[in-house]
Amino acid sequence: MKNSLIILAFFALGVFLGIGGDRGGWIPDGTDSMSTYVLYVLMGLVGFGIGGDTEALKVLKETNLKIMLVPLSVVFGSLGGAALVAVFIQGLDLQEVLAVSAGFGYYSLSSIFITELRGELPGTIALLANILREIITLLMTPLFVRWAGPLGPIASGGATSMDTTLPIISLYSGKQYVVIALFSGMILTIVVPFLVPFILNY
Amino acid sequence: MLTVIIIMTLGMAAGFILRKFKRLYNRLDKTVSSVIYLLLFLLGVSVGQNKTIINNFHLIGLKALIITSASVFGSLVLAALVFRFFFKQEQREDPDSGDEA
Repeated sequence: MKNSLIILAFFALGVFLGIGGDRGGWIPDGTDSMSTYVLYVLMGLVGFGIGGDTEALKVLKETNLKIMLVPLSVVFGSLGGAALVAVFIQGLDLQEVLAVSAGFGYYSLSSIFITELRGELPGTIALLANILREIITLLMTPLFVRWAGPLGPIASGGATSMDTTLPIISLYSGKQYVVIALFSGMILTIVVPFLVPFILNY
Repeated sequence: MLTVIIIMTLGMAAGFILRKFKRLYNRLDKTVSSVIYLLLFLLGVSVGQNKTIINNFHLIGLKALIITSASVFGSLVLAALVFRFFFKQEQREDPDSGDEA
């Protein structure tokens, strides 16, 4: 939760500077292209982290095929749910609604991808939607366990079930579900940068 | 966007090759966080300059909430089904699982 609050704070600071900066004209023109290069750096680092995580590789080795059903249910459940409400979302087409949903809580990455491909409006919705996903999971995990069983908060947390929401999942679903949560979060984290552009380009 | 995926894949390969050098990973999470803060700050600046977004900010939040609620709901339904049909059996065989009462 702390991390997502810091992110929101940085975003809000940028918004206020953007609103005020327009009048002074002091914001450099290259800001947009700069964010593309910063994104390249970020993606290199994220890949480096995944490739070098021996713990992650071990989890993959120890699991049987059934465990794949957990991230799969997140992918199909999220996209299916989003498709059902897409008609109520004015200003976004079906692809954009699905792409927002396909962030699976990985707000930093998915919002940047969607901004690059479709502009700031869907990008901002993606940022807020995916931060909300993390916050909802942190707040409602006990209820989700009661309604949907121990896999509930793992599914709700999506990509965050490997880091920010892992402690609360461990607490309410049980320690035996930590490996499943790590696995699911990891798969979804890897899937996001492939699936979001795929949906928008399809 | 293909560039991003290629860079990420190269990063994964590099990480895999260099995974023995633990020292490289000591500050990686912090570095990644800082880069993310910078990116979100830049996104914020663009959003602040965009009048359409600023004038509709309350609507944007509502849309985000609807999409997220629907996504979480869909995920929960499928997760409940997956648990019931594929995971629950194992639980019953486990002698430690008496915590449901």
